[in-house]
Amino acid sequence: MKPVDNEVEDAKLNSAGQMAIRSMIQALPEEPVSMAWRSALNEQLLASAAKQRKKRRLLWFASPAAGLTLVTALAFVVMFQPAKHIAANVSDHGVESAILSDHHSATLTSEVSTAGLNLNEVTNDANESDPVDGVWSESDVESL
Amino acid sequence: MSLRALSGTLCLVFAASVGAQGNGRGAPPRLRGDVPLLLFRAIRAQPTLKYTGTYIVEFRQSSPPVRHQELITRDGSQYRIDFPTDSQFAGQVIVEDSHVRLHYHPIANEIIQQPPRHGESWEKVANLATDPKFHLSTAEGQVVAGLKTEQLVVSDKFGNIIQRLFIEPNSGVILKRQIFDLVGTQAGFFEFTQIDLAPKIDPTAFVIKRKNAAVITPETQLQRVCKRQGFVYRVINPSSGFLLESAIGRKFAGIQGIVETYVNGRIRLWVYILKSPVDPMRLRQQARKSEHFYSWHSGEETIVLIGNLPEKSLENLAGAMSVGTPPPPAKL
Repeated sequence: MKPVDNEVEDAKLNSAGQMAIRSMIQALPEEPVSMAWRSALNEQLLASAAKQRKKRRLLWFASPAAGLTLVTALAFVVMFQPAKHIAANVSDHGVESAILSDHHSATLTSEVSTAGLNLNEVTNDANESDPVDGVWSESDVESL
Repeated sequence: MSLRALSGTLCLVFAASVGAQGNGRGAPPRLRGDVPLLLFRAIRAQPTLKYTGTYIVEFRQSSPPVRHQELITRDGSQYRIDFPTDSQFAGQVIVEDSHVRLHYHPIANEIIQQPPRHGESWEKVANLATDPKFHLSTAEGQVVAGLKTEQLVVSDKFGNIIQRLFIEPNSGVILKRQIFDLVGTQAGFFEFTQIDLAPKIDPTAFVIKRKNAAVITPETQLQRVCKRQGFVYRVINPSSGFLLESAIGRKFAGIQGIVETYVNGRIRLWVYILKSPVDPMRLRQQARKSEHFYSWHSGEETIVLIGNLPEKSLENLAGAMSVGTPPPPAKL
């Protein structure tokens, strides 16, 4: 700090306002701290410390346990992911209805066809077959 | 000929004809007493019918309904089916006798060898005369393919019409047949548009000769579809009496499956194999009275057998299903 600045600060500290506040504080009566208050404070500090220790001990056990649980859950998700080909809920897909519906159609139409083409052959066996792989069904085409 | 003599003759014809289907299922069922003469005539004529003609077939169970035309040449139990040149099936030829059915596909240059099929439809007509669940009546027919017909109406015991057959009474040929669903909607039909009842037929018409064509059995078809779709090859042993007719891949509610169809005379059996669980309780709830099934799991696949057979028989057939490799390709 420059000397000029020091002189300015001293002047401020010795101003009349500062001097008045200083004398007021010096005039305040000195109150001795009671033993009872100190004792109460100590008890509070001890209780607080005990709580802190308990909390720390709990965390010491809980943190690894929580971590272990998290790791186990992640492992379950990764290791035991449900297979993709199994429908999450078969009933929602109505696979049973679809099977029976197909069967009803097949039963009815087998009554109509004689020596000629049946419904499967009419819907699948048009002359659009691959010359190498033979007759293709609709699902074969979908799987391409 | 008296009615008694006619009935006796027809019983013999019926017995001989059903026996000729060769499925070894014992004595033929007894004829009912209330069978209309029109149906007798049709049954009697079946084994010896000879004609050439054109008919339309329509299946309404698919959406939209599918209709096509077939050109038929028939001499008794020998059939040949061709298709018009503007048909999507042009070039395909089907020949069939009482032992085998051969279906030539020109683009694939393959001959699909299958169990005969006409016997099944013939036995179904014959079954009308034996099964008491059908109520039979006659009505005035229509002119079909230029010929006057009489109508055989088949109903259930409540009077719901199941099918109508339009029969030319002199020849006994069925010129039109309509099948109705449970609510009376026509589910499909065939109808002749032209027929010659006195044709000259070249016997070679019933032979398919194609030297470089591959002969494909239904077992080969099944092997192909299993390979493409990643399924285990499963087939019912032919010693059970059920012969594999076809195998196709199909999706059911978005789930890949395979449908195997088996025939044993007029009895059909369907095997559905899906890579997904199938709830037997739901199947039971939704199945019709005549639909029996047996299902089980094997690995990640569910196999469902459906047919108009007692569940115990289906269970036995399930036991006759083998897993493994198909037999070597057939030779004609």
